[in-house]
Amino acid sequence: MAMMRYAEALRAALREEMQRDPSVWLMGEDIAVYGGVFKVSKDLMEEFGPERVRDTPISEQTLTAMAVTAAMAGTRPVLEIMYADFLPLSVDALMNQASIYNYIWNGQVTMPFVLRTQGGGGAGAGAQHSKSLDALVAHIPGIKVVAPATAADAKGLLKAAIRDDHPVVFLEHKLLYNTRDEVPDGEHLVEIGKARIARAGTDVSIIASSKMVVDALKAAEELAKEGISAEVVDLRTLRPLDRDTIRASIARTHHAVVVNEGWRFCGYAAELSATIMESCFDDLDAPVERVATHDIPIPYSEPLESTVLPDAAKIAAAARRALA
Amino acid sequence: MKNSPTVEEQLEMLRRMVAVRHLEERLGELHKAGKTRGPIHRCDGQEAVGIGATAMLDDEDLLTSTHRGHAHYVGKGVGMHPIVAEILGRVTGACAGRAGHMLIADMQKGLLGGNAIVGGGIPAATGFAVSLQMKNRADGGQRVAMCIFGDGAAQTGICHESMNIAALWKLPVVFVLEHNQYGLTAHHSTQSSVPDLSVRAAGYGMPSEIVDGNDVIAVHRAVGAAVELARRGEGPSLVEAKTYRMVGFSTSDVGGYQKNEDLATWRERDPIVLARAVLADSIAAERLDAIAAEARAEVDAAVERALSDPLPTFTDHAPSAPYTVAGA
Amino acid sequence: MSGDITLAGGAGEYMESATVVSWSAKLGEPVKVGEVVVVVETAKAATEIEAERDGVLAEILAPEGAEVGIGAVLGRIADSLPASAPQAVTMVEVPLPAPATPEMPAIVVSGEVGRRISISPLARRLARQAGLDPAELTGSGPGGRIKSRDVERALRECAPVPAAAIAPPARPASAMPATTAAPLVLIHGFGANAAAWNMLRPHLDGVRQVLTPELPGHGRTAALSKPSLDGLAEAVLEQIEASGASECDLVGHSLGGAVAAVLSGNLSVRVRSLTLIAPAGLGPEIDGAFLAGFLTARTPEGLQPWLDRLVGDAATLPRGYAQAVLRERERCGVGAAQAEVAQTLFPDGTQAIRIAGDLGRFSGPLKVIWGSADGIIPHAHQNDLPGHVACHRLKGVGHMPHVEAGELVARLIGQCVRSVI
Repeated sequence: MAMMRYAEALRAALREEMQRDPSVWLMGEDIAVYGGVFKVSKDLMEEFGPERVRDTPISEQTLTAMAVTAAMAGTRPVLEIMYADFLPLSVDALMNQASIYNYIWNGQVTMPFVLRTQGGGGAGAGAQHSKSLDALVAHIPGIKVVAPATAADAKGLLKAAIRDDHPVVFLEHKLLYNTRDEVPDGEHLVEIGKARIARAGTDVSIIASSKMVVDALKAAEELAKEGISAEVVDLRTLRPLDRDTIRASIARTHHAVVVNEGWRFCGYAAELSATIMESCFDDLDAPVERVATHDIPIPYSEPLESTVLPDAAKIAAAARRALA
Repeated sequence: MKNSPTVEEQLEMLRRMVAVRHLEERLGELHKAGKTRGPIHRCDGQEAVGIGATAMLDDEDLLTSTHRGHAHYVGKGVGMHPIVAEILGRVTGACAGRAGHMLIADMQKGLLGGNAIVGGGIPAATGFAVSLQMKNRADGGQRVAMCIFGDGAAQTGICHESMNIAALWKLPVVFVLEHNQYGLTAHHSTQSSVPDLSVRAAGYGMPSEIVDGNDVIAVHRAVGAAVELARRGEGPSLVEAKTYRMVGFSTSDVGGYQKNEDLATWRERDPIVLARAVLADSIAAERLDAIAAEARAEVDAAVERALSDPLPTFTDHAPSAPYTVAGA
Repeated sequence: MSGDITLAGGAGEYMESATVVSWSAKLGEPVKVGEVVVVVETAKAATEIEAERDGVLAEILAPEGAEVGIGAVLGRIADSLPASAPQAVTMVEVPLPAPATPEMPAIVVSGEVGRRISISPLARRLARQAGLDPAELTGSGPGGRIKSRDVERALRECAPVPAAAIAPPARPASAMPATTAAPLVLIHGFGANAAAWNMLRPHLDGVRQVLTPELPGHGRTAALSKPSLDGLAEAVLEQIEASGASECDLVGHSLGGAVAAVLSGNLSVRVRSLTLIAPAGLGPEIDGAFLAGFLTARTPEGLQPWLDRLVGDAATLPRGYAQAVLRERERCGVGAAQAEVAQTLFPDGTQAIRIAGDLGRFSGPLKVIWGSADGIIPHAHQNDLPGHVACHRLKGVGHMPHVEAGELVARLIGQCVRSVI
């Protein structure tokens, strides 16, 4: 075990996979010479050369489409899209190209590429650099979507994503890059599609992903002082969704709070809520409580931004409502 | 002349062009008879581009096509029966009935594939070229990617992004602009600030050439030179093949926007007639007739067989896919 | 006619909860459409909620100071108050209390006739299994919603009722005597749970206390590590003891009948009478194919044919029964536990348990009810019973007389219970 920052864990995953497999290569804006604006690919160009670590023009739409077909033609590109807010530019390639080929071409092709990006608010980056667009990508069949909350999962899931033969969108969070936790030494892989219980509890299940797991754990800590035992489910993978872990948790607690940093309306939390209603209805002792970002552009000034974003206090309040 | 096709190669291109023309005509009938689904985009009169541009490609070279790709499919060597069966939605089709006529792909033949998002094939071919460049450098291969796209697609933002990246990274890709003058109903003069789109290549530092798109030999020669360049690792090129769309945008197009005199002029320049005329000096008319008859018979046989092939039944997903029917 | 005053009706959508600041209208006062009736405070601003119809403020469900969730019903506007109004209007609290307080103030569900009962899915399921009528329960959740804790409290409260505290019967003419403190204990059969008695209970007229313990590995009762008939009986006895009863009347079906017979001689809770329905333990034959098929079925389609064998007429089975059995099996992991019970008590499709001795020793009123069309345990087992046992054979009825002929079985149980000296 080693204490590692989330960004370092990602870098370790990239490095190990590039060492292991010469067909793995990276592209993105400012990732090579500069090492990425969040320094995830720092020093990798020096180690692997400019052909495998490529700085690109600002052409997200084309770069995403290129990742799709480069993967089809036998290499394993890892594309960095600097901000999740730029994902709408990638969506045509994801939705009209990557999503369709394996299915409509009847399994003739696979597309082992990873699209890494980072989203989330709380850093005062404004309406075009703070969004969480989980639902936008998780909506697309044939695309896997992962969103790790810890350094250990960041490493294990990125390695698994690079080895996956199908498109994976890898959602990071700008406020997680500097968080630290224990990362297992040596070969560490985390299976895509498996949630984890981040904290066990008996009264209410808080289901979250990415940075919201951190907030959910804080909320659970607060609730514990009030005698409420909250279980925190860290989804880790948004699609395919680990319904079994959710079901099992709610069968224990009978109360659910679903949390997602994306917009509330038609957001990822809504999918969680519907899933719970479909598969755990008879186990519910209260309506599912939903915590998400208000349906407004994310404003700049601190009191405005903190009002619209979910946080630990809002999650705790939702848990109390569920248990009322 | 360099890159000129041999007589045998010309005969094969003629055979393929006749086959494509007959395929389009049969599809027109089948559509009227209600045997096909959705619109069909025919390429009557444009066959020389697709057939001429692909004639020098190998199976390991990867081609991206358009929504009007029947000549590209045939040119890249996909069998007539899998094409027809796919268009008729049969389980024996190239994609088992999942793709339809606009999206046909054949991995074995390096056709990947039709694309009905206009312009979608341009970054796709550029992406192929990155992988092919890496593979070529690793094993000394000479694989190339090719993108056949239209004058409508040339106006998209991704066309600019792709050509810039292709030139910047000296990628082994050939851009073949099949300029048929119309984007759906809109004449290119209402869509482009310049009549000759190939002038844009200079902006990327990329060589370009304009050729008569109805002259299969000229297309073959120009594209062949571009392919040679790409195989040698000298980067991308743009070949602008000027042609004309003789039928509507699709089977749902009621027409009325193309001038009769234009249609008449281009009809006289039918690429099959032109190709046959070139061969008439050296090949007996009987042999040319026999080749044409054989091509048409191949199409008819494929249609007959496909019509009696079974329709697919729904299955959950492709053999290796992460798709689900009921939830993720 | 009445209309709800809801939080969603008045406040913006960018909030998850609000606090009730003040009620502008008073209970019983007339209100007009568009008039402000209540002011709530959301995260940042106070919002006035207006009446959406004319009428009288008939009910305040969220008092001032209460924190309420989006969509919550704050109160109701009615056309007019009932005759006894306004005193009859129930003033209820919808608190969001400090969670440290373990017991929340009870909320009275307004007794308005025909009003929909608000109950959580889990509470509904638990109430059904326990044979409780949701209409009789008091909800402590938001807006008076009945939650699982309310069902559990009701079960706790109804269990140890001392004799003196028993309320006088609402309907003295009922089939069941109401003058005794001894609960009527219903023990379900193999593969069932407490809900097995749902079709019978309405006929018991509900005025006396009924206990429906569950066999280990069934319903919500934990499985035994090594199942045995005595072990099952002991676990059931513990549940009866937990009610505080010192005596009881026992009814048992099939395997539950054998358990009841074993319990008839226990020393801790005196058994006054014994009614056995198609009991196990009176002969070696049992339908082994049924046991195997029932236990291995994984789909409703695979289970239904076996369930059909349970009854004389398949139409008498409640709809969705197969799904309910499978759901419970999947949810609680009871499948494996039941397989082990069957393996131990009915090895190789043979009954390895005997209750003749227990019946011989029992001196109280004793009835054995059997269906003539029982396909699981042959009714011929009734033939060799000793003379003090009253035998009833129900024509055309299968292995589930309490389901197939609930009214008659209830009457027979009543006779047996009443004949206690």
